[in-house]
Amino acid sequence: MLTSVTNSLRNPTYLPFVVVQVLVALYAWFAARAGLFRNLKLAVPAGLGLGILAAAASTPISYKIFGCSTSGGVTLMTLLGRKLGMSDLVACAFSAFVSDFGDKAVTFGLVATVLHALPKRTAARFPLALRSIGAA
Amino acid sequence: MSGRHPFTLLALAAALPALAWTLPAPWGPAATLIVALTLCLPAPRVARTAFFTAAPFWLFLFLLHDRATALAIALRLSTMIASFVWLVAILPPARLVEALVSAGYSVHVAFLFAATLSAVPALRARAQRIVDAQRCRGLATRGGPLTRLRALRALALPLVLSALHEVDERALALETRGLSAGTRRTPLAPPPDLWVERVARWALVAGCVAAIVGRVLWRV
Repeated sequence: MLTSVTNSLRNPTYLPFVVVQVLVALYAWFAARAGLFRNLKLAVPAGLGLGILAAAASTPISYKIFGCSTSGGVTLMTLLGRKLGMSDLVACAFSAFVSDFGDKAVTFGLVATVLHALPKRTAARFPLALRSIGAA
Repeated sequence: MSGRHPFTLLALAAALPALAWTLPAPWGPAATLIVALTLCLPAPRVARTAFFTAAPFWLFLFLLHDRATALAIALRLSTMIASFVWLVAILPPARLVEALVSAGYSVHVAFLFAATLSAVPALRARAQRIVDAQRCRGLATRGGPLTRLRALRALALPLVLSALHEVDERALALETRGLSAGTRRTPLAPPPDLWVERVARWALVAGCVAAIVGRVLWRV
């Protein structure tokens, strides 16, 4: 949360999404405790799950504060959603799901890869890192 | 303004977006944006950064919404962006730490805040060095999505390892400087906190509360 708040000083558009960052951190903690970074077959679906959660949490913020204009891609997807006959809020949720889905799956996959590549001596200092890859 | 107490600067940067979102559009957010831009204007670099950060939102909003809605949201977002960009430009993290310590906050909290602020540019510079080094070794970092995805591992691992290494070094340095001694530290140059500024801060808080209450009770 502190990281989100301080990052907001560099890019203020992060600030309204602090709640989402807290949810992401909690989800990642649960995923690590559950050993979901054991392999890519577990990590990528867990990332997709986070994508759904993050999109659901960020949609009301994006809709109310940013009018669904958080980035060029999100704007285009919202416009596409509207052209497909969705209401404003549903189009906003659609664009949030599209952008968060792949993003979080790639991130979880990358985290799993990095955790497995950590030298044993370094990883041994972080019990949760060992637990997340099923080595503890 | 840079000579003002850090808490005053923080209060002003927080109050402007709060008022922009609370006061009725378009005149309320327009007024707060004018104040925020007036703060930014003396430093052309700050004004430019605020402009280039806010400009895409105006374009996206006018693509998505009718003119009145787009204008209201764009003015509010621009106020938030301009006031925070101004705050970052005017308030060095070290000065904020001094203010926090002299106000009685734990030195751990103050250090955590300053370290997080300084970590972003440090990590960015390190990531760039790692990209350059890996490219010298023949790593392809440009191309299609698959090529980029493959390059991520070779870039992320050294970044994580070097960050962990630096954390160790910093922890050792802080330990030798007595950060965990538990005694109250004396700030070297505490920023002066004049009574006028304290009154101004409370006035800002009162103004925000009044605006929120007014908006809720009377739908102003």
